[in-house]
Amino acid sequence: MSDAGASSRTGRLQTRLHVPRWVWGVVLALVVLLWRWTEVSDLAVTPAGRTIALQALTTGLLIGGVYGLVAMGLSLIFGVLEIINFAHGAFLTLAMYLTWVLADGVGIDPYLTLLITPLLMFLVGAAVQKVVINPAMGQPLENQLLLTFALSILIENALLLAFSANPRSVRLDYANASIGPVEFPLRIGGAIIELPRIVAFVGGLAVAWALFSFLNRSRVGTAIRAAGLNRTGASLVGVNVDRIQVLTFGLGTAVAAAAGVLVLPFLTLEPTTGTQFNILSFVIVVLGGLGNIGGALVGGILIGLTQEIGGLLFPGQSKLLPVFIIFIATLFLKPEGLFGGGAE
Amino acid sequence: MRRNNLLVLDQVNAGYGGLQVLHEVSLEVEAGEVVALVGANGAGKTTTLRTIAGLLVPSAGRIELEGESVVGLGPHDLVRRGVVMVAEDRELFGALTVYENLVMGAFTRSADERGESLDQVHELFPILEERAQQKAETMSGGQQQMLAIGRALMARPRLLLMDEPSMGLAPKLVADVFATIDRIRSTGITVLLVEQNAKRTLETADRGYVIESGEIHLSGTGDELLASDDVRRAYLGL
Amino acid sequence: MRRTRYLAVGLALTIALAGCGGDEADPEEATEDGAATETSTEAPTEEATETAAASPTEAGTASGEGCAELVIGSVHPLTGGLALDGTQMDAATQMAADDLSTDGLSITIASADSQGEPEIGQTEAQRLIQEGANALVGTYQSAVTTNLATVAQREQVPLVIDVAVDDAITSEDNDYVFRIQPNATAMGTFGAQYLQALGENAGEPIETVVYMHDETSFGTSVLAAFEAEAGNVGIEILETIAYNPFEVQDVTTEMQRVAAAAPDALVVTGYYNDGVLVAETAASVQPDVNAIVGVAQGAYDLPQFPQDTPDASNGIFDSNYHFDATKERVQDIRSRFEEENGDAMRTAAVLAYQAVEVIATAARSAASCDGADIAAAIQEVEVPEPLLTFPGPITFDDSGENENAQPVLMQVQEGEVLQVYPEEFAEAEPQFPAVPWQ
Repeated sequence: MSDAGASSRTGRLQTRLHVPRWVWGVVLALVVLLWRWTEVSDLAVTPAGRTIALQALTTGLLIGGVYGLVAMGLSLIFGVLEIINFAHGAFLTLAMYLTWVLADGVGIDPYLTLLITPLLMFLVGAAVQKVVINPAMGQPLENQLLLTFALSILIENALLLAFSANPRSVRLDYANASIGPVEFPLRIGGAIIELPRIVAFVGGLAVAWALFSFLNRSRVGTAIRAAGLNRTGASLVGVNVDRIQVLTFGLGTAVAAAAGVLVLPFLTLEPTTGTQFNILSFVIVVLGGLGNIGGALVGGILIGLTQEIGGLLFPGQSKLLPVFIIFIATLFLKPEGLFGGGAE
Repeated sequence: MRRNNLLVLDQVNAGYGGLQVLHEVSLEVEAGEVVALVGANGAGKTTTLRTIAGLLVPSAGRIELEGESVVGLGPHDLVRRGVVMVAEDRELFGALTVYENLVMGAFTRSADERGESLDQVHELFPILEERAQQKAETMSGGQQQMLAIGRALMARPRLLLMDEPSMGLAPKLVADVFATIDRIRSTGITVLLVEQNAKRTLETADRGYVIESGEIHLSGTGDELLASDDVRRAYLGL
Repeated sequence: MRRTRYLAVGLALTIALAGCGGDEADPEEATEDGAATETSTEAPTEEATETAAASPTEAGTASGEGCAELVIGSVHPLTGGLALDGTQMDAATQMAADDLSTDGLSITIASADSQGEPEIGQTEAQRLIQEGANALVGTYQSAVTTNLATVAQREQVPLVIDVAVDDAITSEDNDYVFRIQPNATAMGTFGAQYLQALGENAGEPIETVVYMHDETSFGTSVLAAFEAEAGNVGIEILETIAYNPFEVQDVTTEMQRVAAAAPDALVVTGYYNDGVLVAETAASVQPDVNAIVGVAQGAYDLPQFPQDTPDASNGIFDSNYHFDATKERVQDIRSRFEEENGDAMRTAAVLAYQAVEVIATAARSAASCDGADIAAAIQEVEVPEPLLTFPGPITFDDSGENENAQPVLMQVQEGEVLQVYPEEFAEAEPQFPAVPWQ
């Protein structure tokens, strides 16, 4: 029997991932979806059908990694600050514009901006937390929601003003290059796998791993985890919780910024581009359990797969449809998320 | 008699929002002492401790640690200055293990210091060593109390603030707690102890203060207060 | 659970906001510069609340007594995501007014900003009429234009549509709405015919297609017309693939389906961003098709397109409305426009210019500035030498549609968008079969 004293004001940050059985439930659901598609479609067991299925799997997996990264940033912020950052997608868009300016205007390779953009966005996030959000921390949850919401609209419109709605893009010169015998885009079983998407996936995992390591092994990471577990307890052991909150918001934003850099080479950029990531991030964060970083990463991959495989089954509909089906199913069956375990 | 004061509160007013709880509270704690602050529920004991610990900012008055003002410093600053609080709610990291909680306690300390402190805490509370891998939130009340104290000790405090450590514990465990406080004192750590259990507290303490409605009414040595008619009537049920 | 609930509420809020877009209703389908931002897929707002209609003051003289001063209201998105084309169109109306004013008839433009919103466009049109506008030109968006059509009919002031593709805006019942550009049905029908001609002339008939289109009313209406005509020209649609143009980030899986079907041609209808995405994905997947042909596709006829995607654009066709690049008068107007405004004059702006011309011609013929008279005159008018690739003069049928409206088939050749069919408008020979990756 646990004593209330130990878990009062307990935070929700979980930085260690162990995959419970429920993940296999969703994977099973996806396999069933795929199976159903092969039944419904004429292409079923033809080579073309297999190609299409393989394409859906690879596309979904690769983009899912990036989704996971964005969601991790959001989950981190929620886990430590317990605020739902509506401006997360807007920060992502801002980061993408920053990278666009550097890549298109100055001529830097977009991936090199991984050294610049996340750092700048870290500062932006930290500043926002310190100046805008911190003063509102004691207030009811609704106020905080509205605050980040207003922030998102502000950023979006500022970007619209600065850059107009004209779509922008940055493309790699070497997207179709070859490394030794390997030619890009890769062709595996007929499925096309493009270089920038592979880089985004690998890069996304790398950044995720770096975040995990940082949170679990570094001193600041330890302080963040403490603040995310019990704010008062953390300050009692000597953690400067205010400063940690500023750092965490900056860190979560920087993580999203890194994702933005990784996707720019294959997406079209407009002031509203981040909005869709926002929607998916919320779904993923709930799916993975609020504050569960590892859950966000795995959830991201699952959602990416759901989008593509589900898209096969509902060919005319938005790819968000299968995502929301899974989302609502989760809310009904396991509301604390697939990996969530902490009680409210 | 010159006092070697570790902590001085002088005419401190403090409260929550518009409500003033402490009225010109003054007290002193000498290095190496165990000082008790007793009073009824709601008298302002916890508020006093929280104000010292930096969780509350006083609206008036001085709080000095070895002569230096610490008003306005947060709990994390105070920890670095050697003032560590064991909170009434304990505020453990429930999802972490006993070992991890203790390690967190040494956040402001070096790895070497941490190792040393860990040994000392294990000696003081063998059960924390036995159950090192158990999740804090699954432990009993008494065990959590020990963990909370142990975690505070990991920060190698000079002054330990204890907020109602015996609350909700069975009598045997209460005895253990006070025995522990004795042992802590013997290691040279100063203790400011807040309690409702006046008898045991005054027996253990060197000196004490009695607080009522946010004001200090009595002060003296432990024995003096135990003998005082007022105290006996009000707090000892005699 | 409380937090999860908040999250769910917040999620719903975000989606609602995304659905309603930052700015406006449907951008115009065959948009020139492709400023198609993430916007609403709501149906155009129906007859909005009728504002009190004051009797319009006449700037010109009363009916039948000749017209000395013609005021034309120009309603376009001057701010917001579509402002790029909106401001060009407005500038074009101004230029036309200057060009076409004579001693006998001075033409003034009263500009208004629709801000991309049907409600605002409507109230602005109302205001312009109250302040003396004898006719209206606009608006670039079907949803906004629909509202103006209602105002036009009620106030008896003619509206000449420069850009708006939705068939439903015009009808036999409304005598005050006229459209110069080909509507959705025309786009789809001609698209099928051009496709057939393309194959036949090259000796490689196009008999099967896969049709990719945006799932909004734009894509579906053009597709419907294409489908209706396809049977007549011997084209079989193997598969139709719809996608959400505002959310789509990847169509590789869809393109694999195209590859699996291996049609003679891939037909595409949609906006700028998704058009670019389709082209780039096709260049990756390289389905075995003989051509990629846009039908009213918002990207493939813009000079910006081959610049943005040099490796995935060459050879792509688009059957869309276009200014007639072969006509000297058009070249003159465009070069003067570019000198004055700095930007190359896009087709939407040329249409706006044309709209003013139609009204001016009708006003002269009616010898009246009265709205009803001008409307009647527009119904009868024939404007020769149209600025777009139309085979005959601009003349309107009972519904107000230009009988001679037609798109032209263009192709990206060596980084340039050229008109290739019909022959009378061709700047170059069509290259078929042709795909960007060969």
